[in-house]
Amino acid sequence: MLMDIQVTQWGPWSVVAPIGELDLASVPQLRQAVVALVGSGNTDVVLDLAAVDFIDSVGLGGVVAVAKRVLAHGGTFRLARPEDRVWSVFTLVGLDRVLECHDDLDSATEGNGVTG
Amino acid sequence: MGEIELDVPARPEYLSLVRQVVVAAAGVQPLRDERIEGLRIAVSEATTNAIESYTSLRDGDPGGSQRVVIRCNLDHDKVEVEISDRAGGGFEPGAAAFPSPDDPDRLDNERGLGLPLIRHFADESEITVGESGTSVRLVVYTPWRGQQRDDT
Repeated sequence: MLMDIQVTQWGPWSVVAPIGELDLASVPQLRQAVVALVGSGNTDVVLDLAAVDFIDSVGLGGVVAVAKRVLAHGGTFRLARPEDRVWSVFTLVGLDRVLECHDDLDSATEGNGVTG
Repeated sequence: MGEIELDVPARPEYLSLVRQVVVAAAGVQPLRDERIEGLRIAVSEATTNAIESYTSLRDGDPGGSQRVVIRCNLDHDKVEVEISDRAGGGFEPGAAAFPSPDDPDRLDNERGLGLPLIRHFADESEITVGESGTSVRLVVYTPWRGQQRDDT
């Protein structure tokens, strides 16, 4: 099943918002979306997970992979929190402590990134 | 009480269906939402592993012969789910714990969380790797564990 991923520009921030479930079926699309952004010079990225209602280890790995992609290109990566049920998986595995996480999109898009 | 069997092609696009069926079946039991959510993740991990085991064998599945079978057994005191494949791949050995967030190389651990998540969310888990394939058995107990069923 193809996942809907919305990509919008909020000031200096490119906001990537996947909708639905992040798993083996959908992670390639997420990676592709971020690779395209970074490749076109948009390296200040917010991953907005507000509309993600399920994540497993492959989904978590996908989030880490796109964060690394952005950081490797000298950009800034921020994450806007998903709903509590999905967020609890992030905190369980400790990813909330290694990624820059914000409570919501407004908070995540405050200020400028590296290139902004 | 009942058994549900689901036999699906070993393809990522069937993961969501597998999760939906198992969650719907488990919803018959008096389980709290967070236990069902945990089971959803554990089932996703085991099914993902089965699908990826086939992928590592060879590319493509032109005949559609690569299948994953999910059996969900509902007993009065537990939900038991068995995920079986014929590919025979196991999980990464030693990947039984979550990596430390304080590890400077934490971001290098993109994968390898499947087994720790299974262990965390299932009350019991058993992985059998044999010549005929791999089977992962997951058990989540209901609050009725240890009590006799009252059918009166």
